[in-house]
Amino acid sequence: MISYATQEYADRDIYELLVPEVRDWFRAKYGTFTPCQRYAVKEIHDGKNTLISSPTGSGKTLSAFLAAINELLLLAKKGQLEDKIYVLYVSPLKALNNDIERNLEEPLRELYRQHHIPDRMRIGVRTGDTSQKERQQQARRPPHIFITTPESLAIVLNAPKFSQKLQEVRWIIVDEIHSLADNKRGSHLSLSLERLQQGMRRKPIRIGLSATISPMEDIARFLAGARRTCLVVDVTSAKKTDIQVLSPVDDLIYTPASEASSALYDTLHRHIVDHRTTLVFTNTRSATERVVFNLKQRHPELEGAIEAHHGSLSREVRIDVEERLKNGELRCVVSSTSLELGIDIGYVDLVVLLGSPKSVTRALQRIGRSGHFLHETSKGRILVLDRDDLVECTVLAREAKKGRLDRIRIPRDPLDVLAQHVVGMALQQQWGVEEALRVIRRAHPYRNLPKKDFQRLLHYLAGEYEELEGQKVYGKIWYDQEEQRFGRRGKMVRPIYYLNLGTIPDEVAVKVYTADRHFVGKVEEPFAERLKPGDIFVLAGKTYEFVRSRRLRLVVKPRPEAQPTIPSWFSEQLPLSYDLAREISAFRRTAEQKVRSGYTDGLAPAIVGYFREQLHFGVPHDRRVTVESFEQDEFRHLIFHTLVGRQANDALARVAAHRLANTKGLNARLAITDNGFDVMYARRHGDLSDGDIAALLSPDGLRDDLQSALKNTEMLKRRFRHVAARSFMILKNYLGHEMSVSRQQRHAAVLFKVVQEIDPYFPALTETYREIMEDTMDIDHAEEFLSLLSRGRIALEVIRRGMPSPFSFNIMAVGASDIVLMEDRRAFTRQMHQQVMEAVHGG
Amino acid sequence: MEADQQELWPGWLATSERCLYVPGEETVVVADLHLGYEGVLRLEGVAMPRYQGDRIMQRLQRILDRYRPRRVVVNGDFKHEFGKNLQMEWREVGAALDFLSRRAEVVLVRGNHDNFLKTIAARFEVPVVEEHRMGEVTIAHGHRPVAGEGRVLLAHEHPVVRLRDEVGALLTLPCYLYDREVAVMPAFSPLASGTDVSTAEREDLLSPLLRSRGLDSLRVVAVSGLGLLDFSTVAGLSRASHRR
Repeated sequence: MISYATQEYADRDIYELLVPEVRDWFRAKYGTFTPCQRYAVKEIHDGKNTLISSPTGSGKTLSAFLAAINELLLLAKKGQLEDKIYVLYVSPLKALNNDIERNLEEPLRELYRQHHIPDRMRIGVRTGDTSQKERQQQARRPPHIFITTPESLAIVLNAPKFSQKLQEVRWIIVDEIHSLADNKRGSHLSLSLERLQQGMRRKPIRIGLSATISPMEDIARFLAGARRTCLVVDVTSAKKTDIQVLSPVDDLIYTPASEASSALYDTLHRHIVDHRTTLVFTNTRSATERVVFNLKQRHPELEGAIEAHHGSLSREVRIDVEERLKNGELRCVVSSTSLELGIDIGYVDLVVLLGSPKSVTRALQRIGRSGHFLHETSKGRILVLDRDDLVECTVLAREAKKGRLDRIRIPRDPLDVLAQHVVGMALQQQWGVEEALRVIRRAHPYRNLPKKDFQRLLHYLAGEYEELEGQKVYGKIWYDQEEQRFGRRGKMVRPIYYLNLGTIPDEVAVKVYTADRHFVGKVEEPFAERLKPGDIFVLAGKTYEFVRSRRLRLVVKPRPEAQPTIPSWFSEQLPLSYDLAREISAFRRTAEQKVRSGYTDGLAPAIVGYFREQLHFGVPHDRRVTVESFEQDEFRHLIFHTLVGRQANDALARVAAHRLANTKGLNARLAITDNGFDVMYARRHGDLSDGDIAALLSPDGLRDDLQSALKNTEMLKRRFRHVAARSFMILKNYLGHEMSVSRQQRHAAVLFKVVQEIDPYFPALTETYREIMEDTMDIDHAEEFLSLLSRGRIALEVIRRGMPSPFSFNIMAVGASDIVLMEDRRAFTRQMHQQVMEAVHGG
Repeated sequence: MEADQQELWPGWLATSERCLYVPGEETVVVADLHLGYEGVLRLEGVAMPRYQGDRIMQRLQRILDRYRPRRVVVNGDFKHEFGKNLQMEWREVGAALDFLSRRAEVVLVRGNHDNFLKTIAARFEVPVVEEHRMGEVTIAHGHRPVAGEGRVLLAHEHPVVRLRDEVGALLTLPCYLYDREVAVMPAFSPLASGTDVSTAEREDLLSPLLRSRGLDSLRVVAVSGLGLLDFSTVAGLSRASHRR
């Protein structure tokens, strides 16, 4: 039911559809149609659901709006515009919403100035920032084109009056759909759209706008909903891309750090000076700060011409940077992910990626931010920072040139998001369970939702087994199990729904102070947890040394001259995709063959050197996994060179460590990277046989083992808080009180303990495991990989050389990602007691 | 090394059931039950299922069956909500009191959470006192300074030992603390979080008495799945954790 648009219409065919006023305006302004408009406008006009994927600056937005504006103008001319919403536009970014409003207002103003049209066409924006007064105005006189975010849409769906105005929406436009489909904001939106459409006589047309993404068919299904048709317009190849990988130094390992760093900033500076406007992407917010700091320090003349832009900065600062960028006042902006999305950033002629962007799709999306017009080439340079980066980016650039994108995954049946909508649905009307399920299953992410899961969710939301004072919080719906019906309960629930909906978790921000109690700024909790006294890091453009932490407060001292020594902010780093990881492992095999044979044509000298050193330890590649076993300091390390991307590695690592912990009766520390993982344990437990090591990677019982492995981890506890808040189990805002994040965290810890014990199928718990295993990790690919291994399609070799191989260095450098405990708590207690008492008595 | 009971003072036994047993007086002491905890969380907006009530009742029953005491002393924080009595507390505290008072004489020592306990206790004609004296031992919750001579048995602090092994794995166990003059009981509530004795600074301590003395000299006896485990003293533990 998904098909690709094949008919490219001529100017004449499209102009024919337009009313004269629009036709004249368009002709005067643009002269001709862009490729995506040629494919899309007529189809949308004919009422087909359409997904448009096309580069920035290709007239994508207008191709989505043109058919609708045309129709609305026709009505306006006849004086038949009614007081209702015709076009619903949803985008994930408030900033984008304001852009769109401006970009629509302008042409409309021109049209109205040149022609006499009796009815005014109204455009209205509604986001979390919209004032009470504006909202009331919108309810009285609804905008014909309504621009909003997924969260605000879910709110207006439950606004008794305003939702009436949405009942005859004819066009639904979802912008930046690629940034929604693979996460819970997208799941949330998909349900909102089904709830909106439920009961409508005339089904609206859905139009999606997307950047480069794969698989297109899945995004189309996500846009249209289950079992509906959708037309895909894919003109992403229309824009040329020029990608190069650059190494600032020839030798990526023996060059001293300070020299390498100088070379990096020199290279960066050279590129900035040679171009008009450069956009630099780093992979972390902290790196963004560091790069700006260093560039300014090394090149004082750039002061005022270079800025940072990332999510931790205040809204005012970000808007100011965006404005100056748009007006061409900046030479360079350094960003993490915040400028990936489609807000208008004006003219950028170069994109520099610092370090691997970890996925071909992301590389193309980022690089696509340069060369704003369709005929211009997007120019991207990837600066590599170490040898793994070099290998990775070499493969990545090759894949990008071939247009081979990594595939995204759409979350399946996220129950926490569904909980919110069930509450919203119950507020609207009474439902039969089957009837509600039909609506829910029309949303693509929920197309296979098991009835049993849904009933468990209703059971939780009803909370009927609690006494009165508990029910106010606990029971959010009324549910009759006999009759299989549910509906609203009480007056408290409506404000709970309004104030707590949404999918983006609050993060615990840790405040940073100097010893004399000056507030410096905030860092995220996972970062704070990793800091050790003496670590030097950059915050708000200045360097500080970490002294000590106390609860949710860090104490630092300023160290203006010191070189930052930030430990890797791993939780924040982007994961290498499975698809790209497999390509890199295939590349490793070819590179190994070349290095062995001595014919190293086409390989960078640094890569040749790297592989030559690795030969002694065996080069792991797509047909061979190596596991190194050796002792270092007080630990034995088992390093698994499983190049399957970090999300699959995350799953493999925990399963292997869990099996090891239980067969040997020990606790293990894990370091997980894109290229493999390290399982560390106390050396007194000794080495493993090759057979024992192979058993750690058996595909049997993978899912169960992963679930048990997660049971006692910090990750599970942290994620449970997010899921509990999304499921309305912990209300962030209740009776006008905001609950602090640290309080949420404490309550979540208790709730977690209780829920785990009383019901292993509690929806919030099921969802936490699912989210970790399927969204954060990649259990499916982990399983696929282990099955190849067990069938001998990939060989397993255990290497014992008494020391780590060069490929192991970056894996070991991570330090610790998590701890996996043995399940036998009594044995753990006994070992711990023994150890502690030995230390007490030993000296 | 592993034991079911350990004598803190002559005739005063710490047990792995998180209660003190005094055979000479046919008395059992428990503390910090925090019944109604879930209800308090619910009032804050947390959809907390009922959990503690049944578990606490079962454990009390086991203790009474095993030691057959003549007297049960609850050393404070029987219930959780400071400001009023929740319906849940009426029911759960009531059920616990009903059960205990049928089988033994009950003495309720007031804790800082017990402001409104009296109204529930009155139904069962059980007194609520500030302190309870047994021989040379004063039993007091510990949120306020304790006057008088002799030994003091406190609760309130919910002491735990948190241990870290060489790979960073954490083990947390509730514990008793004691020396010749002072003893501190572990919390009876399965949900209470506590003070980690080996890392707590003096100013982190909740009891004025402990704040003034410090914890260093106190011996640590942890409650674990293996029974009671002796961990030497607080000072010994912190030295050991630095050494490792």
